[in-house]
Amino acid sequence: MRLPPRPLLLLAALAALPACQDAAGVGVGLIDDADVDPATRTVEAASVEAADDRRPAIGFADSTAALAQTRVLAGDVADPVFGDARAVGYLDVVRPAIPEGMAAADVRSVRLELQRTYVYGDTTAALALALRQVDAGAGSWSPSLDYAADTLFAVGPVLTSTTVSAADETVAFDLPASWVEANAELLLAANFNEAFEGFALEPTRAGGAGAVFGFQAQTPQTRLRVITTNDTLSYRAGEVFSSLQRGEPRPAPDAFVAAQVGSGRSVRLLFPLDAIGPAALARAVLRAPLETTVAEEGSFVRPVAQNATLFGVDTATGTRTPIVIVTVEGGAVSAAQSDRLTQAVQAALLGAAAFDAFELVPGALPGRVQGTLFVPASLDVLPVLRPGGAEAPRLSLTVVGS
Amino acid sequence: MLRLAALLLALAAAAGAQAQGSTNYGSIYSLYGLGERSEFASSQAAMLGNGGAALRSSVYTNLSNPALWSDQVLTTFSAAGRITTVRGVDGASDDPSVGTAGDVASVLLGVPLYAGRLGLVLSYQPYSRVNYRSASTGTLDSEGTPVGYTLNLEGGGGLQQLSGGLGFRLGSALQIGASADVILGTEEDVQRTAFDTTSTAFATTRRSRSTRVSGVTATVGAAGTVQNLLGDDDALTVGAALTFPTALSVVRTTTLGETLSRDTLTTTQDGDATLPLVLRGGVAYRAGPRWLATVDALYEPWGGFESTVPVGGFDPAAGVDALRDRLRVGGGVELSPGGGRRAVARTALRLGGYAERGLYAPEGQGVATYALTGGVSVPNRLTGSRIDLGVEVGTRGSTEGVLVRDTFVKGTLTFNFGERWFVRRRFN
Repeated sequence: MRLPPRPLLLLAALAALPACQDAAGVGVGLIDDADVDPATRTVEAASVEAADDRRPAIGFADSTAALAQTRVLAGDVADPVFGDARAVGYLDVVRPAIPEGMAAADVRSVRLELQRTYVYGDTTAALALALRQVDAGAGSWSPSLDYAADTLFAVGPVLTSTTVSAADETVAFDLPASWVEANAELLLAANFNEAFEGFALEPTRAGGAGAVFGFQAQTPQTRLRVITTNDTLSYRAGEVFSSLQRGEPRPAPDAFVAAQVGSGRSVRLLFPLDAIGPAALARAVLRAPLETTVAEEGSFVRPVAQNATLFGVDTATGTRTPIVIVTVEGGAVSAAQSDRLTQAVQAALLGAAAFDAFELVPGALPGRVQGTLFVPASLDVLPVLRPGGAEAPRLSLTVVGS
Repeated sequence: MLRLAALLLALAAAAGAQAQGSTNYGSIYSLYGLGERSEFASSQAAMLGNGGAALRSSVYTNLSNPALWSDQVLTTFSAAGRITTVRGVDGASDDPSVGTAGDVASVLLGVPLYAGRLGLVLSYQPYSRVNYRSASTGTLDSEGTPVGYTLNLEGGGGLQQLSGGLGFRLGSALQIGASADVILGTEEDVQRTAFDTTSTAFATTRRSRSTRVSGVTATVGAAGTVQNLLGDDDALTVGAALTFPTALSVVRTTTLGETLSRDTLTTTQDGDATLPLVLRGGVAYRAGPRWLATVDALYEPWGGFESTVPVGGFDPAAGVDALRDRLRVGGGVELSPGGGRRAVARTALRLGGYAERGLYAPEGQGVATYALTGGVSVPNRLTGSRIDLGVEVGTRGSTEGVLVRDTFVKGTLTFNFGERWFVRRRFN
């Protein structure tokens, strides 16, 4: 069959002509949707309350960690706002590779050196820290989220003590000669890492407000120096754990919610999203202003958390779902570039969310970084302002079709 | 084998046009009602002003009036595709909107159960098409920072019509027929807003309203022919067809969310809509084998449209009713040169036109369409087969008020094949 050539050309055009559309605003006036343009709607928190949660253990890191934030806490602080806290630090060390022949050397002295990088409390306070050896006979310990926050390990007698203040960048403990003599063989033994469980740093507050100090674990300045007849060996820090004991809760401040890392206290935010209705959401921005004056009151300092974890909470069941890690910028908790927050709020607008409130938990979530269990240690605070003042937590929503 | 190849080619043409229609755009007015009404009675009728209620033919199977299906003497297969380019302007926009859309105009199979007396037709044709798009830009003040955005309002889909029926000739002058028509399809209206920012902070939002419609109706038709009226070989035919109003089942699904999780929420609303009747009437006069003229009228009372689910231009709860009765009058003339060996000598020429009052009147402003139609019908070496090339040029609406003036050009390509089936061989 032969078809005329011109119809064939038109046939080809029908099949192959690309779809095209030169879009313009022609006819927008015919479309009777009055609410098609995007708009920014601000929803202030209807309530900001403290919410109690299981107090998380803090300050874990295992021996393979090479994390700049790995920190061990030790100290005792009396805080009239956020509550008293006493931290006992546990620090294990890892024996370096020792050349052949070194094992026969004599150990002359041992010194534990710690780099102080953190302080919470009275910066003028001088705090006595006692050094004890963790009792290896009670079993080994390792980072685990199963530990209660105030877990204490069995320890031996006080080996030595020193006084530390906020002015000290380095704290050193000289182990007594008797301990050196008793542990000389173990220190150089091949099974040192398995047989030795580390040291405990116990604070003694003589009076005043006191302070809790933080010592950087993964840094060359934090080490166990073992001086032998042949050489000086540096044992780097390995596993760390900070046991935190809390005092009685203080009365809640009127102006803000006093949330703090390791306190088990978070900030619950309720937003009346029903007022927005089932709109399509292009962006959600959360901003929760902080009471920054508490960060420094005279010589008493309270570091403000640099980040927090935002959860969605089903208040009926208590089920919490992490949404996003938010940062503290300009005196406020801020989440502005988060698709996950936008999705979560979108679901809430549409009544499809599995939560009915948000919670801000100061600090990052415990988790694994490069395969290493890591729970940052600090007493950082998150004083979120309540509604009614000049500023209140709010959601800024870019909605379409509200 | 050649006929099979031709049929496949025709289907390919129709599918190609359909592929166009699935992704592109046409008139903004297709947002009204259940979409822009689509009619393609036959390629011959389309070229003669879109009328066909009285248009008898032994080659073309005319879908506008089932009574005329009794004229079939050949088993026919026809497939038609079309491409339409629409240029829209209004009083508010600086730039025009230009869109090109293609779709299948019709596919049918006609079988003469008793040649020239009783004919069966099975057909598909779009009942309506929704293919509008309007895009506008704006600036949003986002906490003191201007953020540009583009708002896209898009519609797609439409209703399809599947018909099957019989035409019967009573005596030499009167024809009657009836068909059952299944109407079903989905229309989707999408509101999509994209923000002009390299930041990931703003998500493109998408609100989709999908309307699934289904129902059954029926068409009855009649035609009467008087022959030798003014001469020895002329004929005057008067025909009419009525498609009954029917209640359609409507399921409305609204999906709201943003692009990262499109199906954030889906809500479903059930309802029904009453499709108005379609009344067609026409007169055709054939003056011998060379000349044919036809005049046709159509009436659809969309002003009485009812629906429990809001549709474009109709939302009783909001006090919106921009629908009105649709009227169309058209006609055309065909010249068939006659015999000859060359295809050109046997090519039929057609010219027509129509005027239509649309089924919508935005803010009370009626929308009229005026169009010229025409084309050629080229025979080929297959007996009873023709390839028709049609064109339609017209304008719709105006730039007054909120209205849009469309200027459109439509091209159609139709393959008509006919041959004798079920005829016992007399000689082996």
